Amino acid sequence: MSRGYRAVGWTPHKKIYDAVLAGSIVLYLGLFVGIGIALDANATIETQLIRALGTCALLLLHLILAIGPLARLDRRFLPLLYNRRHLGVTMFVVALGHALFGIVQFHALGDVDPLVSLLVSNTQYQSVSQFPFEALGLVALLILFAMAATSHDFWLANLTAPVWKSLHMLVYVAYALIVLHVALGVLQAERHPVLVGLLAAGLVTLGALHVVTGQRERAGDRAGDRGVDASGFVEVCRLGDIREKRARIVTLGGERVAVFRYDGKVSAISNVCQHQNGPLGEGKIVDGCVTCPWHGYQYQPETGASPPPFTEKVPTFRVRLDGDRVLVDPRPNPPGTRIEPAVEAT
Amino acid sequence: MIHRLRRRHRVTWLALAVLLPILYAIAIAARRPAPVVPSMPAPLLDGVPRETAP
Repeated sequence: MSRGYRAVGWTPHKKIYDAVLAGSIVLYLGLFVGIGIALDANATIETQLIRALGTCALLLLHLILAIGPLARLDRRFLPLLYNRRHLGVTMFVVALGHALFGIVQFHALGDVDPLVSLLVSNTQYQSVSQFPFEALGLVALLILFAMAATSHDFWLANLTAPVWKSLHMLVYVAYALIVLHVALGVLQAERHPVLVGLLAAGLVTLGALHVVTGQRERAGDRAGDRGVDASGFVEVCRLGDIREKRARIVTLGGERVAVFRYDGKVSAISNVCQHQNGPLGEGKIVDGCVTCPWHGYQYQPETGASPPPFTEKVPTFRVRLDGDRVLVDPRPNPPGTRIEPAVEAT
Repeated sequence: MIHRLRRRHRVTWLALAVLLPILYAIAIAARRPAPVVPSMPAPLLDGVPRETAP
């Protein structure tokens, strides 16, 4: 976490992540172009480069979209989530390279402005096989640009996490446009079934991952619906259900609450990290603070506030212990409100 | 808080999981074979224009 804004908050992990990413992309492009030219003597290096950049961006987009649900299904994928924004910006740069090379190759040699040529050279929007697929790619690229340009904590803080998240959910629209860009573009001419099958497999895999995790989360929320007792508190679990310095995530009033047990005390705060809405209850208490598993943002369990000089705050909830039973008031207190933790009987 | 975002995410993917494969299948089914010229003009077969051929 950071108090100020820097272009990139470099850490050794991020440097390794980015070095592996850059090396993998260069290797992929080199192999694609080299093998492509070796197998097809008529192919030009420009054409191979356009295809290499396009397929590279498409692969990266599939990877980016798979990381979220995979991290929900298996915590071992969490390290990939940690630096997903760098992956997203890199994917945009690769896609931009594909677009620029494509425009230069196919639209820059006439007497019409290349961008105008891109938009007017084919207007058969009523046709499927002749559809101007370039327009789909252009709209997708504009969405990816908006996302890449706002992939920084400055925009996250100023737009607020819900607005930023809504903006970045446009990646699903971009993904749909890109799938159609490929299906109505290169796959109209390249008829090898393996190519059609690869994109179909990616599409089905991503769809299944997101639908399955979405339904699982929904089922978990529904199972968490509980009745409120006369005092307004809700029994959420037994004390023994919560491991030391860990949390139990419960759903109260449709929202998730993380109930932490630490040093003989129990506190409850919102499960939603203020940074990128990460699941605080899947983190642990480090140095006395709840630590988000996604990017390491920290909050004091009694107040829901980040330790000074940081300013992030999340709502807190009143907690009561009745023997072994843990009870939580489902009404959230304003973010940063200090609530005395429930103390375990000795 | 993020309850609505989660629901929007779930609904978006349910819609994509249904619509995108259908649109993809339509696009692939609409493919037309590349036109084949049954007989190539002689100058093109040689790769040299007739009037400049020796």
